[in-house]
Amino acid sequence: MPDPTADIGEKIFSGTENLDDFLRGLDRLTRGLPARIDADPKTVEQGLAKLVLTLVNLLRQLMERQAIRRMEGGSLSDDEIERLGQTFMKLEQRLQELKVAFGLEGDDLNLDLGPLGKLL
Amino acid sequence: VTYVYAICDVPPGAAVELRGVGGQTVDLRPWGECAVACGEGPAGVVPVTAENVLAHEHVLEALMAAGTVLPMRFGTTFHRTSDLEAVLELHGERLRAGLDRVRDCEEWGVRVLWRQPDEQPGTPSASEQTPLPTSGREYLIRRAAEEQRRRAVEARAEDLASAMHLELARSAEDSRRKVLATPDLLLSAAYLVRRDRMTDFHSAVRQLVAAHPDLRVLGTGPWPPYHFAPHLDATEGAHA
Repeated sequence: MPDPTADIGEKIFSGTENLDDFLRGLDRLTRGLPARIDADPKTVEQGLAKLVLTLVNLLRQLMERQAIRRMEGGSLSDDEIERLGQTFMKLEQRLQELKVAFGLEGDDLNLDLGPLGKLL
Repeated sequence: VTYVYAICDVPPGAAVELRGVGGQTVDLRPWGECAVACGEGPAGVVPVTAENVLAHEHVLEALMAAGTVLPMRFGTTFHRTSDLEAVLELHGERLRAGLDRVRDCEEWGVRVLWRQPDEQPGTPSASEQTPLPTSGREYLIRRAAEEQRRRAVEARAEDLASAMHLELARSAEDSRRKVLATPDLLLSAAYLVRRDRMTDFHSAVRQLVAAHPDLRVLGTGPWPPYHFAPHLDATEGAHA
């Protein structure tokens, strides 16, 4: 059987010189929630933490946007703005700490629904 | 299990010798006036490996060279031949219409990378520069500003990508596009182009590259019309 990768260059009709830039971005495209939780005892904790923290982070972002909309719409008092802001700030700090504690990084908590795109 | 590669319309006897996923023999089983390209393999999920994906692609390329193909998604399998026949029966009309739609056409892909408007090389991002907010109000105001920036970037991306897409779609029969699949990937699109309009499409891409020296464009193809085939699903709820 001929090497199936031999003719890969023939499939590019424009921008061969840009190929490396596109390849670098590929892993971001395929990242998202793992198709399965890895059941390896060493990493199962990290996999579950990622799943749970991703959901908590999603809720935080949703609520935060709701708060921003209400603040911009003028329906929050100064006290409420301060209280909500403090709450979200602490929640975000705590999430960052947990992320570090579980060895997660960068975009690990961003929920990507694959073909459906990002949730937020 | 039966692995299905494609529904195709190739002249009888035109089929070259085909080896599919895992080295399996690929047969062209008659289906009305068309054929179903399939092979028999072991039960279980077909692993997504470079070798398997390329084997799938090679079968489709060979069929495409001989006639019209309606590609099936990688890993489309049926436990029993009767399941496959039932799905063909159920979706027969849609599949035949799908074949007609991609006749004499090929799929071409275009991806465009951009640098986001507020992104300058070498400067740290805002969160690295500025100290933590000192009050809840300041935090929310900062967040609101970030939200506004994000929306502005998205709107700019949508405008730019739409304009580019429109130029390319002119020489295509059909198209699929995605804007900002990742923050850097301004546009990822697939175009269904008639073989006799290929030069038009290529020249549209060249013009695009010339008009946007700040963007990086990657054009690929010709591919089997993956993005323009209805999904062949073992469930009744299969949809295009």
